[in-house]
Amino acid sequence: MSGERYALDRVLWEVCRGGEALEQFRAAPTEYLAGRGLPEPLRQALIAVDVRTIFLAGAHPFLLYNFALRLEGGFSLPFVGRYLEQLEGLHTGDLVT
Amino acid sequence: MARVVEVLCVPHDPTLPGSARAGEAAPPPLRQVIGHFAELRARLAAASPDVLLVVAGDHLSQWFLDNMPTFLIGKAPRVAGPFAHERELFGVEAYDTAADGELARYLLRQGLTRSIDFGYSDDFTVDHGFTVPLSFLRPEQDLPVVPLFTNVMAPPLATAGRFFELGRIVAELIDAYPEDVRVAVIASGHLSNAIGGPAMARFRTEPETEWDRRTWRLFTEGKAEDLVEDCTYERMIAAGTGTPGFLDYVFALGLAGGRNPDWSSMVASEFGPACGFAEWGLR
Repeated sequence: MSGERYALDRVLWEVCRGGEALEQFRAAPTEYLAGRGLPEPLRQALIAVDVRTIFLAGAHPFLLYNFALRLEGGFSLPFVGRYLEQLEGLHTGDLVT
Repeated sequence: MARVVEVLCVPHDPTLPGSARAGEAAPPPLRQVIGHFAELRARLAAASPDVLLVVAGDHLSQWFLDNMPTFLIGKAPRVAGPFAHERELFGVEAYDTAADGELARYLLRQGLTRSIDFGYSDDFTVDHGFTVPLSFLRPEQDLPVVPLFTNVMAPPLATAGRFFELGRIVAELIDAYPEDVRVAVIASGHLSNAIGGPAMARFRTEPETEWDRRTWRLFTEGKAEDLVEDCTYERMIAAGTGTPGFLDYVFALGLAGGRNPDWSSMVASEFGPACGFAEWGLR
């Protein structure tokens, strides 16, 4: 579990920093996520920016938010509203990798 | 002999520089925040420091889960930042100043003799946790800085008691530093905060949480023992996933000997997470 959570946080971290990682993830996400030890449902959640599923997998919320913000292309209140809608009813769990 | 001449606690929300740029168009509570920064900038200048020790949590920008220091002294020749992705996402301006390598190496060496096993780095970038307070408080970029990175993001974290003790020991080390320098300390942090978590927008309906009220009262009344006992990781996380950023204020309280700040203000509003400011004028 901890290795999977680290791999998940690693993808969020790489993509939210922009640059080549962001371009590669956008251009070929399946290839980008290959070989990282992430299960298929989680890979699909990352490709779909399924915030709720990624959060429930134990992703660090700060990284998750910046990942989603980066893929959104910029900050807006509607974006924050959509983001938080996906987290409704959830509480932050264990974040230890 | 060196001495600490000023201790400040300030927030580092990367949207605050935008509020400053908005000027009179910013909502009144945010103008109050910007006004507090301006006031503390003047008080810092009046203290005539020779060097700034800046204590802040890195936001998984420089340090990541592959190599995470609990406490780390930066001793590169320059202290510069923030990262390109922070400038792109938040519009935070650049900051670049000299480091005080001598003081940094002294704290590193002497810390090891006092059971403070600092990590160190000669190659790093400081993120907005450092550059936002520095840009507000010393925009001249003319004073050398010693950056002290703390892990307040990636659990497990050091306890509040450890942060308090670290502050106390760093104060003693500075007092024993043989150079005749005036040191100002800037602790960069915040109160309840939940960036990316389910409670991220809670401030819109509840600007000041029960945790904020209780913690700020204990902090500003100098009730260090109660504060340290109360600031468990579990309670801070329950108040918001970023709330452990308050631990850098606990460091400042320890550095100030556990006594109440000479001046403090909490600005809580529906326009952003609660901002806490504190000052100990020791000159």
